Amino acid sequence: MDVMEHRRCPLRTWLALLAVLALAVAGCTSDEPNGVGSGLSDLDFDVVLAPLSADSADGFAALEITDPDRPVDDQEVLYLGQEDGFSSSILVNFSFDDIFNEDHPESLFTAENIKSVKLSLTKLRFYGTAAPDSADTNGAPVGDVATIYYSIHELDAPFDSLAVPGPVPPSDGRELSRDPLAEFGNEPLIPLYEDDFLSWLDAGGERGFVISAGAGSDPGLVGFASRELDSFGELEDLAVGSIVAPNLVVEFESGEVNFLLPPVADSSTFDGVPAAPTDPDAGFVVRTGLRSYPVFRFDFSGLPANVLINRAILAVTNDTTTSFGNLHSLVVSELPVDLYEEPADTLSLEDLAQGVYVVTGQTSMDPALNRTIRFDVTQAVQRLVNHVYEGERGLVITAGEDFAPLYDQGSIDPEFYLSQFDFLGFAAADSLERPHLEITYSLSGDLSGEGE
Amino acid sequence: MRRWGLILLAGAVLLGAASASAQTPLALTNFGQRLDNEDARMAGRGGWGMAVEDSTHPGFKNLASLTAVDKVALNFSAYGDHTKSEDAHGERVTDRVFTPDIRVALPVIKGRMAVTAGFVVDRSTQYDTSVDSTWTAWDDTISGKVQFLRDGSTFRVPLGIAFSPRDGLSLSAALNLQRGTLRESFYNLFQDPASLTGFPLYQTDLLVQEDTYSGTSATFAALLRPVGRIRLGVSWTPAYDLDVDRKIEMGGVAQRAHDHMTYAMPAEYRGGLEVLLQDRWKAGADYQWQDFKEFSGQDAWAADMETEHTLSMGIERIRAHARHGGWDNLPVRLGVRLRTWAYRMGGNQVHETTFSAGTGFPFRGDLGQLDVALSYSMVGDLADNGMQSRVVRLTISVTGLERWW
Repeated sequence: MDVMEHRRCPLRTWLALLAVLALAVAGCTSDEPNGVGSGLSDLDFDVVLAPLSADSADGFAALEITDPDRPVDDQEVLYLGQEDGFSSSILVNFSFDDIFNEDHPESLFTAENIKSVKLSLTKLRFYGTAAPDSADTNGAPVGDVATIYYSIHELDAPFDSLAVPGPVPPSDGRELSRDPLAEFGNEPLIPLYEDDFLSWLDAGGERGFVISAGAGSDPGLVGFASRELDSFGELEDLAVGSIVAPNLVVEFESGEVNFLLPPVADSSTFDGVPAAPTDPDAGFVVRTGLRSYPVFRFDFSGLPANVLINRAILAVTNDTTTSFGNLHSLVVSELPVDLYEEPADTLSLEDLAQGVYVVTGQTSMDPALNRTIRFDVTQAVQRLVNHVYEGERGLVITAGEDFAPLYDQGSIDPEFYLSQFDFLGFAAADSLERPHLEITYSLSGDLSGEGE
Repeated sequence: MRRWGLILLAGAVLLGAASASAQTPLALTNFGQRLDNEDARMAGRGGWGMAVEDSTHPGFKNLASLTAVDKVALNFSAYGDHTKSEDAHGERVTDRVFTPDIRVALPVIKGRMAVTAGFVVDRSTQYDTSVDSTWTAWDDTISGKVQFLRDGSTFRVPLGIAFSPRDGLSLSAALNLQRGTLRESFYNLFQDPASLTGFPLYQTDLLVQEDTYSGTSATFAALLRPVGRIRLGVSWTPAYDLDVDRKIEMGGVAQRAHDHMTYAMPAEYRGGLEVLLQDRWKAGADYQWQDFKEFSGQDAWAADMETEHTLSMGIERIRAHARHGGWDNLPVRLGVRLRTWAYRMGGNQVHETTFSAGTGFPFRGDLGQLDVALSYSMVGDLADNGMQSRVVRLTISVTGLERWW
């Protein structure tokens, strides 16, 4: 028998051929999956996209949120007027000691040389500087321009910053304004009596004043710049050298540049602040400025165990006829129940920030325009029904705070504007306008039993 | 040892090619499809190999034959499928590459004793379906797809020993570590309506069931040479239990369901015959029998279980070493395989018929071989089973031999 002597391909050649064949087959592309073979699965859902409306609450609380870093007398906005149970005046302290300087020596301040003395205020753009229902030059919406009769009285003593918010401090009752109806515009100038100013100069020291919306004023809260204001984007353009805080403006017959006397302290009184409802049947509020946020625990007893939440929408109805204020983000977050007491409690902003887990939000919500507001809380409801947390959690609705950066738009924090969303409660006449969760779920019988 | 590096490289190539995609939809239920995990030499001649005894080209189908091995043998096999499937919903063409068989044999006493180990995929299921669908919820009409994916395999790690007490008789025993997983995923994809950023408003339903198998079986085999031109091979795998841990999860749901079952696997019998014919030709046949009507442990399958049996027949012209023989030196293999599946589909037995052909190419010094086989399978029948598949398969095997001592 012949021995094998013929030439054979080296191993590497065969391996190369093998690799090419293998990769060629591996590189073939299958058709996309289609209906061929369908219907053979033993695996299936017993319930698919079942609807459930959760429209009752197991618990509710109205949370008043405090911010020790930004007390009322340190806020950037001063509020004047009455609206929806709120009332506020402006408190200002001026010091008449050592006010003279090189440009304005004491010799200028005589009865003959003083042409006028006025109290100047600077209104925020949102509260209107033009005709009602108009838009500003940037196209941003503006509130109606309210007619205000400015009433000014001297307080018996300079106001105490620790006493605000609170009742208006006592005054002598004498009207200091010569013409309470100041002109429209972003810088109302309220004329005062020159003799009063000269007497304050003569006496020296610190004096307190209260500026109120007098009889005949339109309802509504109007915001003015305080001495702490640094969000100048919320103002119309101002003349160079303007003081945005309430200040006294002295005009001279001799033609010198006006003398401006800034305040040493200012604050809103917020002497009337309605309590946030604590019965969710009657309604609930989301309030900025003086923050108040509602938190709910919905009743999930209608849901079977171990369901997959396909979608969950929190729907709330805002009463646009009573709500007021600027546009705001509204944010829904989870909040552990053990952080607060029902039906009302006070939390610091820091504690709230540390306790929440942000779920979702809506931006640019208009209190006077957006009636039905819906939030996609699918993941949150899935977590809640999964019992993935120790202890219970509620859903809290807040404004666009720093802890929700996706919804914290612009540089204005929620304490800047006093706004309020009045939401209809669980006893609203129209059941569709009650707060509720529209839940859509699926369920497999394979998981409806005991799990781990 | 350089040769071994190359052979291992070949194995790596085959394993790397195992990026499987889909097989027949008939495997979408029950145990799945029994794989033809023989090497390409056997695949080319229809799959028979129970009575093989070849020192230069060991067959691992009957471990008793490994007493003939006088070198360390390493074998990789892989195949690529091109499948056209059809049912009442239409047609689908799929491709996949799979590596069902890796084996090694080590002679302890040349001609008398050898040990072996390996990795063998016995059954596999891998297919996905997708059907457009619509649902309603609240005021929304939702459109999307219902998708199902079944993917998994059962495999064993045989650890065996072969011993020849006297000439003409070899015996073997193997301990098989039975393992595997089967994962089924069911999706309701709610694609529309979607948000402005493209995310569907309704979360996808996802239900996943995963079975993990573990068990131990034993296989006993014998190879007989009663007369010069005839060899007989038999094997027996006694009935054994396969523990099944089942886990069911739903997407987004924290809770899981667990279950435990025991599958009672029926005994499996194999027998084979090889006859040396004139010149370089030989013929052979194998028969495999496993009565899955005796299977228990999964009530949902009970009504459909069948007796699985396979008849493999073929002929082979063995290779020659003639000087200037050229192509005439190459081996030629032809075969046919007839199989009845372990379960019914559409109320009827599933029949699988495969025609195959193959050849091989020896390495230098007869220290290994590369074999290829091409086969065509007809699986199921549209009228009887509601669906059918036609499979073109290329099987490739690499066998390497090395004198370690």
